[in-house]
Amino acid sequence: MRSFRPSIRIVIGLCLGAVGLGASILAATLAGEIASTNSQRQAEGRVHRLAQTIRERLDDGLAEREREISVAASMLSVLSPLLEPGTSQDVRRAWLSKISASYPLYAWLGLADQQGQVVVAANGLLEGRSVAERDWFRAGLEGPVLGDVHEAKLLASLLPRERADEALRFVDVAAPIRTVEGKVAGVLGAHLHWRWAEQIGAAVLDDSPYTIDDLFYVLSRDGKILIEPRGQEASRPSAEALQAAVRSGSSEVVGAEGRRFLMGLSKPAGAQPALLGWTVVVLEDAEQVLRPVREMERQILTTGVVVGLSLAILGWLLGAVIAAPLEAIAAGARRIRETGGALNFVGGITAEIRSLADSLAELTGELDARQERLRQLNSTLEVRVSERTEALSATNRQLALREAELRAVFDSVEDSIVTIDARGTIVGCNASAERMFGISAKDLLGRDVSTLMPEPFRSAHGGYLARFFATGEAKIIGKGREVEGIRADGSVFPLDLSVSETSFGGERRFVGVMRDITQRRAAERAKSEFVSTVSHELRTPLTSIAGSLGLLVGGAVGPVPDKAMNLLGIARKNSERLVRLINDILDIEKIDSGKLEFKFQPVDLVELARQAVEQDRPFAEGLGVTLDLAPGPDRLMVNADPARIGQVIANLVSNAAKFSPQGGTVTVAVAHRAGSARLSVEDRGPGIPEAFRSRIFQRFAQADSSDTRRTGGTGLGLSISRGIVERHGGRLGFETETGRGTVFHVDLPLIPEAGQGNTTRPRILVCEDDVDIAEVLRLSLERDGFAVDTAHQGADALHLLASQRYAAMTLDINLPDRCGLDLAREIREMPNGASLPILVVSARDGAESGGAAVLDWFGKPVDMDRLVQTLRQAVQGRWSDLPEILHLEDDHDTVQLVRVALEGISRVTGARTLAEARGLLAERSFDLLLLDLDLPDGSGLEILPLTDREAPLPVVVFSAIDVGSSAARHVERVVTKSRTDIGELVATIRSVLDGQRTTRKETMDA
Amino acid sequence: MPDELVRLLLVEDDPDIQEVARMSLELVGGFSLTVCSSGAEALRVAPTSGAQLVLLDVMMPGMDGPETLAALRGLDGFAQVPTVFMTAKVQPTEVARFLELGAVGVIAKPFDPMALPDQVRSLWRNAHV
Repeated sequence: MRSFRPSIRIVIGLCLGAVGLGASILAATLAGEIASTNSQRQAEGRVHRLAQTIRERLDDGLAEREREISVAASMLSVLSPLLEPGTSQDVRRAWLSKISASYPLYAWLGLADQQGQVVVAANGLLEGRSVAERDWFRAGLEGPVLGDVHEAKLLASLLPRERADEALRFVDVAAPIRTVEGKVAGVLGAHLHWRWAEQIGAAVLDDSPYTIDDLFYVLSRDGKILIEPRGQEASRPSAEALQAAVRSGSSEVVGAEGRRFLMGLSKPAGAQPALLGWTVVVLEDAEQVLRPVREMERQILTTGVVVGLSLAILGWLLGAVIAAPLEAIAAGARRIRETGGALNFVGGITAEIRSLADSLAELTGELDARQERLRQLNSTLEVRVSERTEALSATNRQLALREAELRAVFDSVEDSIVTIDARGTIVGCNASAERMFGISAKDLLGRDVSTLMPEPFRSAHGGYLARFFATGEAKIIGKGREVEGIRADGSVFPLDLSVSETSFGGERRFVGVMRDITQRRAAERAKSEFVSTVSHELRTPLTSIAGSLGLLVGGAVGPVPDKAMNLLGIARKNSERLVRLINDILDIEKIDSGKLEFKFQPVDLVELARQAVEQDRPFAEGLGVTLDLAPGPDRLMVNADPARIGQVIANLVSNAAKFSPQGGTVTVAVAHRAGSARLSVEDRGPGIPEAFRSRIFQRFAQADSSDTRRTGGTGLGLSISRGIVERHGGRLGFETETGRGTVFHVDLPLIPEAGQGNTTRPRILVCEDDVDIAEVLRLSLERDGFAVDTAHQGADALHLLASQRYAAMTLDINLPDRCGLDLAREIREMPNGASLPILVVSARDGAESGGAAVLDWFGKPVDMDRLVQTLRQAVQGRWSDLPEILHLEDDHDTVQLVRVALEGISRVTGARTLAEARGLLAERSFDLLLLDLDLPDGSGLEILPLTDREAPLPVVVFSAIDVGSSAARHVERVVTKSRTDIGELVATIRSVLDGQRTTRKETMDA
Repeated sequence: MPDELVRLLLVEDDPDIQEVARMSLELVGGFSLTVCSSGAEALRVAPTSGAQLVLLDVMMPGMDGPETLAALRGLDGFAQVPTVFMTAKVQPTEVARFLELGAVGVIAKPFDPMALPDQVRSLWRNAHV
């Protein structure tokens, strides 16, 4: 809304009018101030002069009266005989009348004798009365006297009055009457009437604007008001106010009703004033004085208003002159707005207006041009918009079609697809998802995805998402996993879930693809049961068949004719083949389901190869093939399940023999190769056909299906062998050359030989009094990879423990020199015995360990497998000759794999999180840090500062993520997970540890 | 050193396998063999058999091998007699379970009848370590 804007005419008119008016007010105020000051000063002077004059006259008059009486008295002295007794009263009166006639101002005139008796008086008043007590009489005896004014006393009732309320006042005048001899004969006294004083005042005031009725006062010496005005009783000041003003000598006094009076004051001068010392006061009403001034101010203001109005009108007219061209410009602009055209302004009285008009004209011209261009643009724009709109709707139609198509594909997918946002809310689903969960899309959308899962998946899901966002640790994303779902009816079913992450419109989205695997699970179960049943049901008759044939062929029932023996041999061979086939099928099933079990232990691969060659030699020779063990290292320790690796070697040797020509040779070799042990089986057969090489590890794969019969294989051996080798963290590969032969090789992670005898083997002390049993234990334990010392008495055991470090010991309770439990207690007191794992091997019951902490109790006969297993667990954390590795890795399987691979090389302590690792580093020292980078609570690199110590801790990164260059200087080696096998990792760790050991040794030597 | 192993008790439900095992153990191994077809029969026969070692099939109708073993342990004088399972179930976990039950060894089926007596003797020796 536009606010009110006054026109220029009004502004100028108002300004000029205001200036005129303001000037008048100022002038009136100033002039009034000056005039009132002057008037007041003049009035003050006037009343002061009046008071002065009146007082002077009064003083003069009194002096004259005094002289008069003195003269009269001296005249009477001549007439003193008048006072003598006998003098006629008439004579006396005649004389007094004469005197009285010459002094008309006296109210009373009398002659008192020496005793104060009034002898004669004018008008006979007071004659015969005594005045002896009167002041004037007593003073008069001494000389002439002028008394102060006083109220009438004796005469009060005798004299006539002009007004009833009038107080009779007199001034006493007296003089002594002396005889010729100079003796005082009496006193002539007179009372001067007070009206006299008033008449003097009136006479003076006659020459002024005032009258005696105006504000005229006479005050006595002691401040008493002797004369006061007769008028203005209402407004005049009170007696007290006046007296106060007189005392202070003020020039003003305030009357009743707040009225101001100017005061003229005349006081007798000096300390001893002449005569009676009266004070005369004349007041003048200040308002009366200032009235002309106020009148003048009114006139000036009136004039000012007139001038102001005139100026306003003048301003208004002047404004019209200024505004006219502006209005013309405005009108022109309005006209342009309404009708168009150019601004045509010809007027203009000033350069500024002219310039404004010109600028406006240019502006409107420019605006016209722009408007024109805009119009043109608009017209083309409309065309373009309609084209674009058309294109857009075409695209939209295509998009709609495309979306419908995609939707149809989406909905027709057999798998259920559900998309969720970062909070876990379902934002999309397909028809299969609706069917799978029995929930309509309408109800699925907006739901939390965790409601599709039963516990504990449901509760875990929120935390899982949060952890994923915080650490990037993915449980399912990009991996796929079997989980459980819950349908609308509450039934729980297994499902295969794979989740991928994507982003849509800047928001994270997770796409879950699910498949109900209820049937698959059932099928797996059925298959597993089937295989298990088959294995038993097939083996039972086979046991009889193979057994019978074995007995016959073995000659248990006597000689068999040669021809029959030939047939029996065929039957036996095929029954064995059937057994192998069943075993292979079972193995394959177990490898597939991950149920194939392994008993890993340190094994000398050279020895294993030797045993295998011995075992398989008869088979090879049966085929007319020589089986050789090539010369190589004496010993190569690997961590393996000897039975399974033996199975692999047997399989490879058997294949090689089968494909070797009659009289050929199969060579088994064991060699050291870059941190691994390589076992190779070489034949000089026809080689593997080019086309078959890629399928060689597939099941039931054979180069020529007719081979089955010729070679008697199952077609499963290599597949099983590869599965077994891979579970060892190794590799099974081959090299072949057509017509020259084939080499299969098994690479297994090597357990390093420390070089000095048995130091890599954990050393066990066997304390057992029975020499035979001790020997059996020693042989068994050595076979299982331990180094063993034996002691037959407690004393021997203590001696050995003091001189040698043991990983664990077995202890018999019945020892010749002491009870085994007592010995255990003694061992606990030894410096290195406190934490020694002690396993009791005794025929005695295990209920009475007697406070000596023993790890386990084995009855006799000893379960060797369990003993070995327990010993192995016990020494794992205590293989103190071995370097200790801290493996920071959140994946449990990887930690296990590395631990197994490094068994015998080092002790591995696992830490799942950075926090755990920090704690471990703080409390223990390690020889090497094996580091995964992707951890639940951060990057593995965050631990690096802790490794930068006095003796730096070497770091080997073993991760799927590449290390940044900044971190590389802290890191000894980097092994990338997907690119290397476990053997290389082991080799790397060994070389780093070797370097470390050398350094440490040098330090110690120094 | 343990006494020489002479008397065996074989518990096996399959008559063919019984026969093969009998021939193997008696003819090849020279043992004196008592054969039972079920766990129940074994419990009846065992106290009078004088067996020094029991060979026990695992999968049998009625009482299976482990049940029979537990029952045999309850017989007078039979608590310490070593027992060996003969079974097609030779997965390491299965073997470990049998050993935990107190068996001194496991012989896999199908067995080699010519080698069986040696296997049995070997287990007998180990049991007395």
